[in-house]
Amino acid sequence: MLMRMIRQNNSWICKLSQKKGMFDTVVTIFSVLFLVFVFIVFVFLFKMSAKHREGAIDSDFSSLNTELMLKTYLKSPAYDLDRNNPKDLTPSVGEDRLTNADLVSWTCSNNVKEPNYKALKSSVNNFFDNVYSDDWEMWILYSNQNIKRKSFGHGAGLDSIWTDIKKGINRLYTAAGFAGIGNVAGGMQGAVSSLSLISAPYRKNGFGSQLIPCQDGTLAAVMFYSHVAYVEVKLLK
Amino acid sequence: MLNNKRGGVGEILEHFPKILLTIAVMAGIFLLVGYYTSLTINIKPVEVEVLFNRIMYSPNSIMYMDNVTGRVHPGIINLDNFTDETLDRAINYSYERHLAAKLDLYGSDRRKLVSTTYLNKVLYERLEPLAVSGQKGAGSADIKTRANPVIYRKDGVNYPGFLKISIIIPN
Repeated sequence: MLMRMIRQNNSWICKLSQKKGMFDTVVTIFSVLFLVFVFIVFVFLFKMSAKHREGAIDSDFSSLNTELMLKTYLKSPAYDLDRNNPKDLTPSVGEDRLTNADLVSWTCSNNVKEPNYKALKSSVNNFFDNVYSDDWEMWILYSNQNIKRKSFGHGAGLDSIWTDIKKGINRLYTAAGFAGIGNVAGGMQGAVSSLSLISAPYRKNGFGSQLIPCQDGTLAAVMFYSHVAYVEVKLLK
Repeated sequence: MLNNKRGGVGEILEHFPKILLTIAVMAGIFLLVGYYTSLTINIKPVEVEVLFNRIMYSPNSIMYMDNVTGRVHPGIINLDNFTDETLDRAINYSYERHLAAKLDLYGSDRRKLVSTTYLNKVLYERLEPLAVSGQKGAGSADIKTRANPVIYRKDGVNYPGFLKISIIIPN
């Protein structure tokens, strides 16, 4: 609205421009109506797009499927026994057929030339190459720090997980050191290492971890990683 | 008078960028909200996952259970329990139109079919042709298939094998 001051009969009169004011009011009303219209159009479009979009609940249960796969591997009868001729170290225990868990338990050493280790290596590669082709990686770690880690498979999926495990080991050593039981030269070292293997980050998707007792009472942790948890169905056709 | 008109048009032109900005902001808000919002949720993947885990972990289902300790061995199928009756008894609903499944157990060579069993067989056989052909609609169903290496236990001996599970989810 335009306001003008006009001098008339020796006095100042304030005159408002009515026409301009009405025009502005109409423009304002139409602007508001236009905005409301745009708002309604957006609501309509929003409802339409949301109606046709379907959300799915994430159904990956962390590492459950990989754990199942790893357990199945460990319980499975070992492959290629005739060729590698492994030695049964506990003939009076368990069933006649050697399982992969048996082979893991009997190879808690650095000797990679013994028949049991050769059988283990052959069995691991047979089982997981059949299932995953080259998308898998498996490590065996030992609570006995004198035994080197054993690595199988392809890729580097476990590297990032190993970083987490190492952090856990360092934290446990620090805590044990404060408690006066984690002296590296002391007898508690094995216990601290065992604890660190148990506390592996088992919830990470695609990662599986199982503990197997060695014959000398220490622990071996079998760690497994794959991007997929299932066999390709086409393999069965 | 001419000046007045010019002033009015000028004021409209002055407001024009503000109106455009308002519309752009509104559009942005709606697009963002719309992008992260859905009015329908598909729970079929969860249904499949839950059924799969019930089959693999239930003590009264097809998996081998140590009778002395009561411990279930997930991944070890007791071939004596690999029957329609066992599955129907383990996973039972008060209505017929629930999940149905077909379990094919293969040998380690992946070709020899050792055994086949069904959960809710009547519905499976009724809906399988519709699901496989990809028919849509309330009367049809979706089919999800997955396979896992397993061990099957026959006469007290463990054998390696593969279990293929085809699950039908009615629409």
